[in-house]
Amino acid sequence: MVSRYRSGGSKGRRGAVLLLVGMALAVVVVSGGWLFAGKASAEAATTDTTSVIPPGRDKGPAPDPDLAKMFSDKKNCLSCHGDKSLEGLMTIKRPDGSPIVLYVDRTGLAGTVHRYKDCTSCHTADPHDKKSPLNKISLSAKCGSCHEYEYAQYKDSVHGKIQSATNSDAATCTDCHSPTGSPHNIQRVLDPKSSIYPKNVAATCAKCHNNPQLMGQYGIVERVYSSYMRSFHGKSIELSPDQSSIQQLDTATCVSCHGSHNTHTISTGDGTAGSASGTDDLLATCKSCHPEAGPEFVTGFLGHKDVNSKDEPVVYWGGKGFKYFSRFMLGFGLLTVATSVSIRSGSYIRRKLKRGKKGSEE
Amino acid sequence: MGRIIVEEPRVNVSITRFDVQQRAQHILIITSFFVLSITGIPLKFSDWQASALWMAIWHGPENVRIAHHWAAWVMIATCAYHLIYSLTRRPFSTEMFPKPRDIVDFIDDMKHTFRLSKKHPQFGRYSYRNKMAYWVVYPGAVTMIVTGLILLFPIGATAHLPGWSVPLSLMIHSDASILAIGWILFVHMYYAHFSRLTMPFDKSVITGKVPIERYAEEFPREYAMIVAAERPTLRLPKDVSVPGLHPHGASHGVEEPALEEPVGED
Repeated sequence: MVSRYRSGGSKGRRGAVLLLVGMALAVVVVSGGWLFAGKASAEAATTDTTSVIPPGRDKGPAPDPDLAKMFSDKKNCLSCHGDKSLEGLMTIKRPDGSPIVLYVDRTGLAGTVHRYKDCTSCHTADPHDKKSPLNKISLSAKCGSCHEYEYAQYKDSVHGKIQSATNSDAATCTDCHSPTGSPHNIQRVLDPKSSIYPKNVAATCAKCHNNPQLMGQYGIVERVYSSYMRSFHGKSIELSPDQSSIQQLDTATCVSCHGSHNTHTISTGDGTAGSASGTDDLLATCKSCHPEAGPEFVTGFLGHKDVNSKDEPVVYWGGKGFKYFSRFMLGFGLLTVATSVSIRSGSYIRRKLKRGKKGSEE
Repeated sequence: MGRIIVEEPRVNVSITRFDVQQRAQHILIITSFFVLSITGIPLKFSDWQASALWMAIWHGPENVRIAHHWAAWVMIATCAYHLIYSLTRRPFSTEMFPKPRDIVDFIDDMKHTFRLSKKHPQFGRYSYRNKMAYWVVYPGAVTMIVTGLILLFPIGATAHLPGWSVPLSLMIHSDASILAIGWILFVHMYYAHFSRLTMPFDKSVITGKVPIERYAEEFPREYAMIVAAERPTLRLPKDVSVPGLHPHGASHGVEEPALEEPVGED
């Protein structure tokens, strides 16, 4: 036994060393692959030679075969536009000054709802025609070439009406339907990750409506997002777990009252969210979920306003009065406890000290 | 000196402080209050990460809402039952009502607390602290119930009440909840359990029983009354001594309870 081990000694040792090195390498590769999965796959994509690259355009990264299966790119647009180095190239600007990014992120494409539409179904057959780059108006019109009903509503909505070649403040299709604002990343409405899934819709509206500077230009002074989040509806949405189903999120969000494609200003009086002058429209809006609501129910709804002494004096002073009363009561109770604790602990410590002295004398 | 101490086995004598009715009511109130608190706090502090986590544990606010409503109905039923119980009880008890004697007790207690007197206050069945706790908590519960019902049935409520009752109820329900939870957690817990005699936990509200020595010390006035009432019939075992009573029963003359005996503690 011993001699057999001895005779194979040097070979066995070398084998063991090789095995160890191999194992170490394997560990490094596996853990590295796990840690830098994204990077690794990107690198793998660059070395992949099986995909079709048009001659003379082989500088850009070839599409990841796995990703390529997930979207349509018949004309190989992504062989150039999938090159990340294009991200910095912003030679074309829209009339409002915003740049057109020529880079198209494949990872976004893979999850988008339009992934089997070819690039040319939105971009023209000669997309390199620079005369009419997509701005917010032409973008909504482009979406409207298929989504006709939504486009008709949008054109007439508060967001659609103020769109112009030079003003891109108002939201267009992609501002709500794409988490990144890119038309290449449109999400399915009922996808929980979507920016307009009920759980996320308030945050999506808040991208603009929580910007007091921007809202101030259009006369919206209420803090609509924070007041919604303080309401029963908002809290119910906020506290629903991320994986909540659409049934669990059966609560009013922004669009339930204000409409989505047909959003109007509250003073329009078209039946959504009520007019500023009366409560009839507001009642109709509330009734769409609370069919038995009466006129008093609506007067108790403070909308997005903070409670103030002018509009709601009873609520303001009543609430404020009770707040101070309850704080005073609790403060008084805590004060008596604190007094008692401090006096008792003082005498307790004194007693302990006395006992300690006696003990040491004994 | 050895460390082993042989304790004399002794018979425990106790006085029933709370009857079954009172214990059952208190247990129902504790349970419903606890459920209402843990299901209500995350709604008030909805922007805390912890609230979202807590809601996820409950699998969404729907379950939390159901638990809150059920606990509320239990509390409403208990409060209603307590009201009927208190009003129909015979003899009608006025023990919980504030009386002039409470002012004397309060002054005595303050004197003792601030070391102006060694004498402990001589409480009756319910001390002024018990009364204060009761008369803070009961109207508090009524406030929570009324505002809570308005919030539970906002449409039904606004058919009879003005519209502002809903937002006002929300504000009051929210602030009163903090008062209630803070009061129970710190003030009530401290006075009920962290007394020098009951530290760290007073079981009497569950068991209904208070050891007789403690009763004599904690509620001396009521204790004297109980002893006086039971003296003619009380027969105790030989090795049991009851403060205020002769060791061998009631036949050997009368002693007043040791009311002003200074105690080493506190």
